[in-house]
Amino acid sequence: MNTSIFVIAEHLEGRLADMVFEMLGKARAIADADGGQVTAVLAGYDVSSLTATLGAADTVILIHDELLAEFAPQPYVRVLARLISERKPGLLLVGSTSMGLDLAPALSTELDAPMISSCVDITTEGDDYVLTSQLYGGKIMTETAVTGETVIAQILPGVFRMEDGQKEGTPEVETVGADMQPEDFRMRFENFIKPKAGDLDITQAPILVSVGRGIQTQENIELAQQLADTMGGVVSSSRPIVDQDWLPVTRQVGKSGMTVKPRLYLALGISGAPEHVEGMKNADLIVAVNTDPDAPIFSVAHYGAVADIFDVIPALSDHLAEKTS
Amino acid sequence: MLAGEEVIEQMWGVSLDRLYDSDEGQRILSCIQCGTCAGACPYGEHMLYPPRRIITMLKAGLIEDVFDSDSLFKCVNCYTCMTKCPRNIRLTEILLPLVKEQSAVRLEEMPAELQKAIENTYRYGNTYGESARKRAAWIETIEVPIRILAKDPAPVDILWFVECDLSYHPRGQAAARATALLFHLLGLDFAILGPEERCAGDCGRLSWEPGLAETLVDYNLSIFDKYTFNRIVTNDPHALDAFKFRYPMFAFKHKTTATVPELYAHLDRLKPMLTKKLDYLVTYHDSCCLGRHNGFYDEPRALLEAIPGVRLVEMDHNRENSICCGGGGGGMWLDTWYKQQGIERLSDRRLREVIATRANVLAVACPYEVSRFEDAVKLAGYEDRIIVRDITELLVEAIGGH
Repeated sequence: MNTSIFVIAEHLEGRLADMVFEMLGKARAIADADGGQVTAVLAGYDVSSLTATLGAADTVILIHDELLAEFAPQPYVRVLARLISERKPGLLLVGSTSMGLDLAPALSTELDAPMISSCVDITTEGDDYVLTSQLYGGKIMTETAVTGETVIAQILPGVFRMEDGQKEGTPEVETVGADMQPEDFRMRFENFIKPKAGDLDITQAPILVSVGRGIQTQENIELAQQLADTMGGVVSSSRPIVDQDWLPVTRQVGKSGMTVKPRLYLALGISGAPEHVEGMKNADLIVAVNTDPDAPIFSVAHYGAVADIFDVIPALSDHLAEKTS
Repeated sequence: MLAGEEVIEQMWGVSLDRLYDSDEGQRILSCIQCGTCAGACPYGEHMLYPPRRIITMLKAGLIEDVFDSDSLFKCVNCYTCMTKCPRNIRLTEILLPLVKEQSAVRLEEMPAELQKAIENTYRYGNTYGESARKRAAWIETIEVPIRILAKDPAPVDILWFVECDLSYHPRGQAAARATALLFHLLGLDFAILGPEERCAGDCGRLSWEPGLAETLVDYNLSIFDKYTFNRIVTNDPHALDAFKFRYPMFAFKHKTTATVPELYAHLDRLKPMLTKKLDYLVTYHDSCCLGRHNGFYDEPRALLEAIPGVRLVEMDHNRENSICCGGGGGGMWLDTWYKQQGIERLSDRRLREVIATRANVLAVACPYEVSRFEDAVKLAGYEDRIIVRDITELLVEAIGGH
């Protein structure tokens, strides 16, 4: 079988993607088992310094051209298609990333090469590469033995160990020119739009200390913040708190805010209007404290206390502080 | 500005690119630029292009600029501009939805909450994303027998179109239970579609997705065809609007009314049942669709005044001058977006008028309004002083023994 494996070394803003090392590690393992060669393909402009971390590859092919300075699908596909049709690797690994999703299908069409998306494993069988891939969002797995001069595998991020591909040292570098003109392409890179720096993402927090109207004043939110700090959690809220501008809109849980699913949702002084419950009912554990025994929050809470939050918060803070000290 | 065949004919097939071929387009050309529409619009001061300027831009061939603005995001489809127009230009019915649709097409990103509501409606037939099979689950919570047509398809007088909010929202379900009890006590012959019912599609049409609305119209018409009934009654004034003004374009011919006028028609029999005195000072919020668009101003007030002990007071803006709760035209799912724009929600603004009346009960007749105003009451810190009730809930409260 053709044991030459190419790995596309994707990079953004001067940094190689983690994905590259995950793919290199897997490529290295296959090559070592079958006596093959691993080649990292690095396309860009003035990116030779990045080769210093590609030690897991046997060689690096560096394609250097101003038009490759920032990712644009057309020039990248042009240079990669040309390189692959000349060198004919048996396997080409591309990340299932925004860049890879642009590249792999286009290369497949350009080279008339078979391509499998969403791959989670690669083995060999006789002369074939056998690719395990996900269908229906991971509900079904398929194994496909693929025959072809070059097989393109689009690899899902996070399925191979990154450490296996992280090896210092610069392998042998071969620099290749691209010889392209800007007018060759109808698509070009304009600018890179960074997402606005936001507040913290409450959907990622395992513990949410959530406050409602029962907190009474903006100053009292500090009490919830202290409790959250002790518990390793984040403060979120129901809508009235955000409407009063006591917390930013990024902290709002519910229909008009975020849908959260933390391990613990501590609802302090939240009555539990349906619009709020919609955003938190799937939390693993819901604990509610409210002075009103009829508050609808108790119908979704796993544990509830009919109590004044200003008694509960200090008691809980003290208890936790005692436990941790 | 009531529904009728003449109106439907004017609305049918009007598109922006062939606007002037229609009678309505000719009427738009007659605009005298008086600005009453912009002045009456509850969000007019926040719009770069309020209705008057939209017409100017249209005539000047600059309508694309309007599409690229977010002006129509602030249109809550309250029919105020249309009601006030001295030239009878059917702004809310025809021009504004057409402009809104184009604005939506050009949006880079739909506000997430609205996007989710639209997707849920497409997938599940309701904005909540709840299973269609659970649409009639609320009937388990009452004693009154409720017939579901799929199980018992015999002909029926009233097809009660319950709609999403009354089927799924806990506060809406309270109104559904109250309505069922009232229908039952009045001996009306009624049945529901249950799991076969889907959103009537008014909000889909008005909230930027006319294609989705047409899908829902097609679906509901196919279900209506399965059964024999004399008329449709619905609690949701938005659904009433859909059945009266949109469905007839798709060969729908059923008589439709809302629950409030239906109950009013039986007031002589209902009144003797209202035996429990309710010592409430009540103010009634006119729903845009029920009031301005369908002319039901007296019926809800007559029902409230039939309750012993109830005293009715009016807000500054009432009847055709009522101010929208902010839920129409997709506003129900733009609360956070309004907040981010620094615009006061209309329900909060309206509540200040409620507070000024010193009423302790705010009576409403549209399912959007209960949760919107209960939120506003909470925000204003008036939980102990004002309760929000659907008219049907108040009627049931006044019936001794229930």
